[in-house]
Amino acid sequence: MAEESPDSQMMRLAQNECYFGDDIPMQTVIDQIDAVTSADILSLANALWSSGSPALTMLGPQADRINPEVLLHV
Amino acid sequence: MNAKTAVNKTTLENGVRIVSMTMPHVRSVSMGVWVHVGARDESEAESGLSHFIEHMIFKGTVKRSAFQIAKEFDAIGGQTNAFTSMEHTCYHARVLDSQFATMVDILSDIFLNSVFDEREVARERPVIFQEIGMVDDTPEEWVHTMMGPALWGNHPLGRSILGARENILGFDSQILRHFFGRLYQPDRIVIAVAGNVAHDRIVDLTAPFFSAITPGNGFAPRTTPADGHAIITRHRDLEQAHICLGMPGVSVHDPRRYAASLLNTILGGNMSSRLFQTVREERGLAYTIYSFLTSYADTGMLGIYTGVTPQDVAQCLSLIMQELQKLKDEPVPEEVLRDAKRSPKEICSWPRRARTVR
Repeated sequence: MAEESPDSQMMRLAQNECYFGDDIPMQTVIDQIDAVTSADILSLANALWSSGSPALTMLGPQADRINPEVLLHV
Repeated sequence: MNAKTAVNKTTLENGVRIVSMTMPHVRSVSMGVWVHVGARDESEAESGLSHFIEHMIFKGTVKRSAFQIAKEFDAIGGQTNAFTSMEHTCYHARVLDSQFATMVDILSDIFLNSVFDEREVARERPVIFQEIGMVDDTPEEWVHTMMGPALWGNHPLGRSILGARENILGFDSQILRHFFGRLYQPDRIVIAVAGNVAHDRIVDLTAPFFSAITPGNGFAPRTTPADGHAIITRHRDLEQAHICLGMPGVSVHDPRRYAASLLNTILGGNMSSRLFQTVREERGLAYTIYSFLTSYADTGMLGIYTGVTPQDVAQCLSLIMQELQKLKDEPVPEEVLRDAKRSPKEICSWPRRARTVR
């Protein structure tokens, strides 16, 4: 759907040029996504989240009295 | 030229790049002047300058007043906008193809010839304060903004794009001009165009303007922040507790970004995602819950947002952590992966913290 919108294409072109210095065709993206396996996702989750608790922000009633540090331990 | 997607690129002698995609089946043209400069390129004292400049670009040039700019954009029936993100500032517009030359003239003029008049700077300052106030009054925005310092501390990526109020009070015409001249270098500028216009015509119209830009005098190298785990909470009288969690993600260049995109889709990227189903559909704890990816050139974040009744915070956080643990412990079933691959293929996720003007 994004391919039909000039705004989306303009933004995609610009981002690809800024980051990669080239156009990354949509088909390349689709092929790369199709190549991802369950093992890739499992491996990624373990690689990214091996260093402890997430950072956390909270806004609301009595948020300052909650101790989320305790809640974030799994 | 890329024959398959009809993408063309021309690099001017000074390094400004012009990329375009001709779309003969549409009647409009979208054009963006992108600068690969954003909030992360500011020192602490400069925090907010990129965003301030983005506002000031529309406030008068050598030959057009702020009102004339607004009036001329309106006259061609175009949609004009701008935004600042951590790594980019973009000025863009979309008009009917018949108005393309006029759009180029106005966009080029405001980008290249803005005067940053002191009286306009003074007039714009309270507008930016109102923008900051708007974020403060929007709980979902606020918890996202605070995630920056919680995850990346005082690194530029951890700061607000809007900048600190005390900085904004001190910015004047000279500071804005100096920052603009120093960082808006030609090799960091990309003109992107998509729509019913030929590449040669785009180059013919834009090159005379943008060839005139000369290199600035220094671009500080970007540094990569360490990932932190801070907890920042603030009391406010609201119905809900608004929560944001932030974890290490992937950079734009990380080959694992495709896997990260699917992981995000499965975790909280759509209505059939695990977080949406577990927290909202099965237990009715939240109206809004989602995960998101934010990727930069050298780092990234996977985030989760939700808003819940204060007494449900513990249960909700526990459920979220269980889903994260499940992704670490169990391979995603093949049918879940297959369904996720059918979702829209957005890989280079749009930075969430972009600020838009106009």
